[in-house]
Amino acid sequence: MRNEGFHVGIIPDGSRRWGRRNSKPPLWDGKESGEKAREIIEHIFKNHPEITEITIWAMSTENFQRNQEDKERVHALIEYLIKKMIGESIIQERKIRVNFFGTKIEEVSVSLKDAIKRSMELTKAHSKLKLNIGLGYGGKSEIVMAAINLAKKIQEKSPLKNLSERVSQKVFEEFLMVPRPLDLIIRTGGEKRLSGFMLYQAEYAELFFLDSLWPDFTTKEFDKVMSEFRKRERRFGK
Amino acid sequence: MQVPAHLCIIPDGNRRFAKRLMKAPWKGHEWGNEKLKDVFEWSTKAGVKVITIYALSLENLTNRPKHEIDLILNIAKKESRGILENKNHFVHKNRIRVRFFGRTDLLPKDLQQLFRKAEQKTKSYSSYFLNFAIAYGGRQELVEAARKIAVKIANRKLDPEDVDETVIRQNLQTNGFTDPDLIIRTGGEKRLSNFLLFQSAYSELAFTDTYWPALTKKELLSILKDFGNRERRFGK
Repeated sequence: MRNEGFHVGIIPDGSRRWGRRNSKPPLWDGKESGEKAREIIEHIFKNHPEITEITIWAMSTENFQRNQEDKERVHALIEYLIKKMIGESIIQERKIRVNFFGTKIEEVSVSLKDAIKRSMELTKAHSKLKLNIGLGYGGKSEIVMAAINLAKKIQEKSPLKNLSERVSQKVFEEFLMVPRPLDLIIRTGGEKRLSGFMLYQAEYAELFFLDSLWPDFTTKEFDKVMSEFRKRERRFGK
Repeated sequence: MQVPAHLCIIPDGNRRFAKRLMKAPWKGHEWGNEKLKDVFEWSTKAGVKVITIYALSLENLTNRPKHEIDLILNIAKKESRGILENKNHFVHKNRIRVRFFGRTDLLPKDLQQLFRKAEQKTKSYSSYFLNFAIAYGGRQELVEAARKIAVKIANRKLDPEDVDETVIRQNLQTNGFTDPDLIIRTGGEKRLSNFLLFQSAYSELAFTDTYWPALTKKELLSILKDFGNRERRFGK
């Protein structure tokens, strides 16, 4: 049994549909989605001590193919979110370590990059609770990068001899962006698929697919998910 | 109706089904094996061409009691022999190309041989494809791919710059298969259990509480119909 708590993954889907349904203008800044993320993250860290790590997927690698205006809005939103969370001290109070990950972090706006750097610097000493935010992240890209970086690193040590044996599961996992396996994954927005979120880490994760569009997702619904999670029997292949 | 070209199945619930009927768990696996033939017929009639079954995970192999594993492997042995010796076996009747993938090297040698022979015997069939994931683990498969890629790079047979998703796929055991369009898991659990982690990135997932041996044609067709109604965006 893990005494290190649970790792929850969140795929916050449905914002665009919510925007259309609620007659938001095409240039809607997505503020409600951002606020929802803040609300849920704070709720979890305040009221669910059994959860010690949250990984939330803010933007996928495919999302980065959207038009420039779209991207800028999302970046502005994320920047606003980080500043608010740090400013309102939940991050400092609960000693949450903030980690941004993804293969496209270099492509975000300068001010967001700054905010990311600062938040990670500010919280790097925190160790009990973790908040991972995926930006330009895709599970397949993560695995490709891990394979490349592992191959490069392993050659450095010594040549061909025993190279094959030195690539173990443990070694491979060191090259992942978020090494810890997920205990559960929540996807809002009605779709029943993972879309490449944390593929390797989803190995034995309990999956929860909810119809609620992300901005409509409530803390009560989250509590219900945790309640059901506790009831599920996890066998890990036994 | 839009059907999945490649349907994957996690046939869970054999033991619980048998327990419900107060039978030994091994009986559940026998019924499960028979159910596969029915599900094959129902799905292919609906238009499915490729079916992949998660017959045994690596975790099952190392954690389940030996007598249960032996039972499952005996069923596999019986069916493989059937393919080799009985020209009326459903695999020949339907011209199904059969393939086994996973850490088959961990299985008894005679069974490994039967698998290879059954694959040979059905190699020329192309009406349908039936793949069995046996002693399979998605994570382990990915690590093995990384291992092979590292060796190729060290041998200068591959440039790190050229490593992409396609290269990963080429080094997976499912090289040559298309990605699953739909994964159905019976038995009530809602998780992937280390099955085709990379390949299932954009697969639609369907879960049912029904135990595998109890799955009906009506329910299966209803699941396929639901798949047809889903909007797949592939990340866009």
